[in-house]
Amino acid sequence: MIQVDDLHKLYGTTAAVSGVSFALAPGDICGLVGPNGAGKTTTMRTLAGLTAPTSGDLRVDGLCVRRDSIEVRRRLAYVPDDPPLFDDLTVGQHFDLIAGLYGVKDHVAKSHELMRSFDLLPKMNALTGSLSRGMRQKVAIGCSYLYDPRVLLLDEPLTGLDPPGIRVLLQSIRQRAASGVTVILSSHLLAMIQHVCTHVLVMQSGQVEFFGTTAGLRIRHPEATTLEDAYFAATGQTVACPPIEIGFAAIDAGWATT
Amino acid sequence: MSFRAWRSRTRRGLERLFSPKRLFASLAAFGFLGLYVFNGVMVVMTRRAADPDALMTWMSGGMAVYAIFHFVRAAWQEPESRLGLSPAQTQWIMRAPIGDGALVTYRMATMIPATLVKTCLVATVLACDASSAWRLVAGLFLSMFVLEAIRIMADSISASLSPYGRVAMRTAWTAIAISLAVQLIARMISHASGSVHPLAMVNAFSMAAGETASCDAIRVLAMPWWMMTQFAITPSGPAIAFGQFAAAGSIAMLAVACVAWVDRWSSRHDQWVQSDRLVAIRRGTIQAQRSLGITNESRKSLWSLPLVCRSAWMQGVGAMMARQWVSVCRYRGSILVSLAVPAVLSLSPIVADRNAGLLHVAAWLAVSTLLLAPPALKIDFRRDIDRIGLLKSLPMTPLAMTIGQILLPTLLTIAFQILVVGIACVICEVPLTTVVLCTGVLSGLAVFSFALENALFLTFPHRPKQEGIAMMVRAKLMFLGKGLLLAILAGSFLFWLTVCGHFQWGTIVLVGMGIVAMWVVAACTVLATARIWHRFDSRLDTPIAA
Repeated sequence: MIQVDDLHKLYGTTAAVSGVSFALAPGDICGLVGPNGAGKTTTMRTLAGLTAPTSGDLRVDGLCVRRDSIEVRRRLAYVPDDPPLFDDLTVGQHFDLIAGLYGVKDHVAKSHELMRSFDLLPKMNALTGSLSRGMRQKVAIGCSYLYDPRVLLLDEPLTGLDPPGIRVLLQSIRQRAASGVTVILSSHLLAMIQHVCTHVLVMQSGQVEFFGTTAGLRIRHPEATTLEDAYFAATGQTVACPPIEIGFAAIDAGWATT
Repeated sequence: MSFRAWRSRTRRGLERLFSPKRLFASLAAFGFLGLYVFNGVMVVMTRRAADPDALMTWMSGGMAVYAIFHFVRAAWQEPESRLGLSPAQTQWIMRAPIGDGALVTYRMATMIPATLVKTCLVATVLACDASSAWRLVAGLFLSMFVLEAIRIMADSISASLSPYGRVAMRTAWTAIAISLAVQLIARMISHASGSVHPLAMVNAFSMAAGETASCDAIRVLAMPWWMMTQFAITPSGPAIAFGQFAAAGSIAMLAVACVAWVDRWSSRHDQWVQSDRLVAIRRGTIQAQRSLGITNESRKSLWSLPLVCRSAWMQGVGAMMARQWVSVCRYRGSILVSLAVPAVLSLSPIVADRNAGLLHVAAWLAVSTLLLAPPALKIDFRRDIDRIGLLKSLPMTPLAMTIGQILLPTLLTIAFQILVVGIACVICEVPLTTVVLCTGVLSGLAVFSFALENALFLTFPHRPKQEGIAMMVRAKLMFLGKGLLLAILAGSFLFWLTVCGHFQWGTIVLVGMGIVAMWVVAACTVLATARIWHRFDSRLDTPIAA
């Protein structure tokens, strides 16, 4: 579903991404993790067609991101970190706009259902400029779901969401993946995403440190009991303070049973 | 979508316009608007119709000069996003499954309302020159629309250039602009015939501008606007008029097509520049930077901070200045170019006639300080509209924050004034009292100018590069308002000179009281700005993004 071969992206003489390659099949959920400035957002923006790659071949659903850009846009949704919205439109108008742009038929019922699931109905007539960060995130995610994309790119989608919002989002990601949607989920909240991801792409300094299934990552770092431990092992980073004991065995169990 | 956005924005704009804290400023703005319309009507009623040929040349030449300005600006400013789209437009419209042609059409369509209003304002002034009102409006609209298309093309070209290409573009367009300015100044000096009277200078300037706009080179550059201005101004039969309109409309459509073509070229060229650079990095010709930490440039800027700025000084004023200083270092080239033009203008009276006296230079400096310095040095509240919440959270009193924001641009303006006055003193002999009076009053005027600019901005805030009807009306009103203020200041100064002359007060009183009066006004304006900043509600008052 997603095929990236030898992706390079330069900003001036700064190599934001160097030689990134990976492939994901329908239904895969890939956790894109790495330190700040690792090139995660650049990789996602390039896949979304918002930034042109310097070199490399990118394919989404068999289509070339550069050549078939319009068809790729129709099949792919990208929700950036702190998504920009049209602040002079209401939440409902935003859904109408996206339905119009993507040609979603009978979108009203679907919009209502999405607004209901993300607890946006009370804010339907509110200007998006007056919403909190979390609410704006929900509007952007809801709008992306509206046209049923085949590929979902979510950049830090959990930041700012309330606990019910996080639960609804992660549940919806699982459901969409089960129906064949490929998801790339970038987040620093490793404990939150470790139960959802089937694959992990660890990036550092614009390069891939690890790409494979979560089981593969576990095999490579057998000492790691959580995704966070594996992340530190894969990136070779050390922290001065010990990990926080959360105290909920279920969280670790999720990683172990993946 | 555009209509909904416009409706929502208008509703919110009206609410903000009539909110109690802005009522006074809004009434003043409406007063100015009334004055503008009244003046326009009076001009139309009293002025003789201009020669159609001369007017056509002026109009098309003026558009060409404006186009040159857009290319110079695009060459020097930071590259914009694709087609100048806002982040929201980039995320939702550019990402939508629509073709590039549709995207360009959408972008051009968003500029129609503001272009229409501009057209109406200009058409009001030119109404008596045209044979038909609708032809004048249509012709002017198409001319301005093509100019907007050229602006977007200039930005697209600039955004895709390599560093060497950018240097070449800057050099070429700056050379063109300088040659234009030199022509203008030479013609102005020639028309002034040694007179340095402000009215004679203004007349000389307008004649020089007209001649420059109608010179051969500009006439060639103005070719895209020939048909439009001919259609707008020249009387002709219905068949010819229809033909002219069709030709003018075709040129406008061609301009839209050119925007789409340049946009595609820009994307491809950017791609080519990047690929070329990647090859150079692989060959080892240039070094790729991997670290996203402190670059050489930022390290240099931090080290170049004056010591006073790095220390904790006056409740954080020093720290705020330090931040401004970094911006000044980074944009020093643009700032120097922006201040060079007013410097040349201010020194022109004394260059034309060595006996002109410092007061003529001071008058031009006052105009520059009030009208040109604030747009050239936007390193205060105006560039922090997206960080207002952050500024509000800082542990600084409103007065300290206001001083911290406006101090460095004010000091730079004062340094510029002193430099110009110094050059004037080298060129001709000036009494010490005149120098003291000029520098004292002008430095107070600099404080007043920046404090006023920020007070107005905080009362009617807007985002950088914001477009639309409101911005256009705002710019016109601000210009008129500042012109009126300048007239009041000049009038007060003349009144003060008369009073001193009448009572035969000494020079010390004249100079001292003049300076004190200017600084009292400046201090009051700073206090008023601090008060407005104190009352600024970042949630309610921050303008919405497009």
